[in-house]
Amino acid sequence: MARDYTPKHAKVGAVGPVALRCKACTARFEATHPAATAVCPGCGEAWRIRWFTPDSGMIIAPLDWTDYQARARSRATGGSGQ
Amino acid sequence: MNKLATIDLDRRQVTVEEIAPDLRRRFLGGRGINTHLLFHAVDEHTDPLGPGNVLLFGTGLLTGLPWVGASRSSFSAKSPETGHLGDSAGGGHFGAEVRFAGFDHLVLRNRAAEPVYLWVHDGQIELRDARHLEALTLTDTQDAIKHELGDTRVQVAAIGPAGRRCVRWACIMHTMADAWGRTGMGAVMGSKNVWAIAARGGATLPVADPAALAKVTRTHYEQITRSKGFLATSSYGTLVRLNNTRTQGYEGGFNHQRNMTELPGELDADVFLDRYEIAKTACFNCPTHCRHVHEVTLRDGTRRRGGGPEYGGAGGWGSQCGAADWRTILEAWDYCNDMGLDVLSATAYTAWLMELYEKGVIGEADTGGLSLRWGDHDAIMGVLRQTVERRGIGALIAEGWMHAARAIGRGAERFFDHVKGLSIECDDVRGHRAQVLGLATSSRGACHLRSRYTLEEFALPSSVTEALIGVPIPSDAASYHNKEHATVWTENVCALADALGACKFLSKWLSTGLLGVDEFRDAVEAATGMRFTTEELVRVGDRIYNMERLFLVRQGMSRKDDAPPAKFYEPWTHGPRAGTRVEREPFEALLDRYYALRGWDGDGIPTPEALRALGLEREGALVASARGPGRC
Amino acid sequence: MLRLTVRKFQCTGCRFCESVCAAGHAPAFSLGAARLRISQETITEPTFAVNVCRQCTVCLPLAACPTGALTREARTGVLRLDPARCPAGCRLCAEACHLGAFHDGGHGLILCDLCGGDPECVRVCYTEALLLSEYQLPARGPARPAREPSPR
Repeated sequence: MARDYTPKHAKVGAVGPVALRCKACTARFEATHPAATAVCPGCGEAWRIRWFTPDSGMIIAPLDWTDYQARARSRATGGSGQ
Repeated sequence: MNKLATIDLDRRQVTVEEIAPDLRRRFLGGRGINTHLLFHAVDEHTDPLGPGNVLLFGTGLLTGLPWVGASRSSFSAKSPETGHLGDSAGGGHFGAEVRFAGFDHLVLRNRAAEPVYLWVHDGQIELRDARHLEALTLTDTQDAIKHELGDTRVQVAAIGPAGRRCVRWACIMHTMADAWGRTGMGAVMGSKNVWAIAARGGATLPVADPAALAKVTRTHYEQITRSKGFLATSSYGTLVRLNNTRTQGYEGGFNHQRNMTELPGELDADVFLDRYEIAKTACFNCPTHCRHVHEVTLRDGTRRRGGGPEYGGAGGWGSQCGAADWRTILEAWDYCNDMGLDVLSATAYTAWLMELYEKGVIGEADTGGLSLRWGDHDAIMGVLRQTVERRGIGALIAEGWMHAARAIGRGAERFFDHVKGLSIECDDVRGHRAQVLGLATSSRGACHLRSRYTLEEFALPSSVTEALIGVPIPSDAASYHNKEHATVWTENVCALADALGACKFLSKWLSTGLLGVDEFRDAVEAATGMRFTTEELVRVGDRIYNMERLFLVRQGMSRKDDAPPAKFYEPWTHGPRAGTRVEREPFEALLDRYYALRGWDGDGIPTPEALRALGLEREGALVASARGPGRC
Repeated sequence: MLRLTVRKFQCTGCRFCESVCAAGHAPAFSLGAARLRISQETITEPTFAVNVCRQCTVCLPLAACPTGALTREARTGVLRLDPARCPAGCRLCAEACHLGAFHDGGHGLILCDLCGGDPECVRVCYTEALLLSEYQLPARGPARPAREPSPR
């Protein structure tokens, strides 16, 4: 689970979803606090979300780098990951 | 703007001069101009901790300008750790602020009578009393100076207790974890009684074509943020390498005795993000924000915050010292940052001592009572504390590993993995031939930031590398074929980036989709009006590298010093590529080809023809006369 | 109307926003020409203060300005500071503003003008700590303003 650093005073009732931008394909999708992960509807990659407040959350990394790199490698032509 | 300030610390005098256009054209700035100044300011007899050494600070040609990642700067001097070329690049916001304060290069000469810090602001440089900073950690030092000067936007580069006590591998630091880490530049600063440099200003920086620079910056920003390399570094910073090395069999462990440690899986970048990282910070103008901020609960229950860690610390304490737990790694990392100790040297020295202890070369009588068992938390923290306090084994290693090895005797020197006196990084790259060559030839000693052909790890098709480098580089890392081209390309591009103040993590050094020399050329022209072809710009990197080689040659170095660590000639013991080792004959042939490509003779000395082509005849003649008659 | 939204905890302190703002507003490059300022209280505090105008509906500096140098544009609602009508050393607006939006530009105070509707800072903020609100999110890509701001 990604840590939730929401300051206590900010936890006042539910807030609506925030817009995220996929780091791999730049597609937009939404997530709602306190979801720790989200899957991009465009490319299917799973991302780790960090929340600072209920309305301030951002993707910081893939959920698992080894998995991500393996999938990226098999997607790219020639089998290279970079 | 375009100003070089020389500070005579003894007489407390500052002289300012313009940087000549010819120097700019030939060396650009940053590490480039530093290397030229350093070569002429010291010689083979200069004592690195004596008043005759100079400490140079250089901002890159583009540092502080509105270009993506234009953040880097370099400290250079004769190294107290290795005895030859000392040079370290760092990021953050310090270099940019020195430019805003009105200066591009600083030259610190002689020694202040009492501890001072430099206050560089609005075109002036003052020396201010620093004695009250004596007991402060590095972050407290920076905050104290900012508070004293009354402005939170002052940027500070400082040394900590280690540098103040001239530990020979002390570093210079800035913010929570930006560092000019290697070769002991912090010790040189401490030997001059300069404990910090503070900068602040609002200068106007000239831009030749602002509209063109804005367009170039926008193009480069789009290019960078779409690249796969950017995805890795913006997510994990250098810790991505932790995962890559551990899953692909070149982790390096237990003082390079093994290529895989099989230590538990906590040593993973995703685990770090999950449990310890709380925020990310960035260097000036950089969208990558590769720096971590972490919080950790220490063994004694206290909770502390720090910047980083980087791969060198995680792999260094984790794999090389066997402490595969983040709490130990972070405590050691934070302590080094508090004290101003270079993490790469700290981990290499600790792993070395642990192997000596394992093999019975040293015991508790030598270590001030420490039991240096692999992975032991108290051992790791004990070595660091003893170094800063200069007692026990720390009293020896504070003077550098060579001094410690001589004092210990019993063949201790054989176990330290280094090239030209500088330790190698924690990963084990003996199966990557261009990278081995790079370590062997790197101009400040073993250095992955000058000479490591990173792309060798990604099995790129030779069509891709041919487009990038000009000759096809085999996708097999274990092949020796054409690898000299990859290393020369890397060394020239890295020297160029360091002279521009550009970050290598935004360059093709890291990933093919990032910025290359063509992009650098466009930024240089838009920013400064200086026009270079791509080849001319690469030649600047070549010139810088050759100047650095001349520095080493003047110190008596040659082919005999261009050798990988002895352990690399032994086979890997683990993993699917067990048996991999550096083979002497193919390596020597590769080295021959490297020398030929660089225009050096068979002993690794730059030939007069090569030097003439780069305009370095004068420096070549000086080195020839230093080496004595009959030698070119 | 259009306004900047600041998600300050997502700010990494890179200050690329300051650079492009300064470069876009003055022919000669000085970071002091930036209409936003990023700073941190102490080295160990990982969060950054983002001081920039957010086009508050109730603008206290607007009421405080004695000379009419500070006005709100009729069509867009964007606050505008006219340097010609701003007496040196006055600073009543700066003191009235609870966001610290007014900055010393070297020749008087300066204020964010939203770059005419397509702010440079928003373009280069990779973490989207700076956003332009009252907008339609496009299906892909970074935040961009809508062609028409949606009615409030």
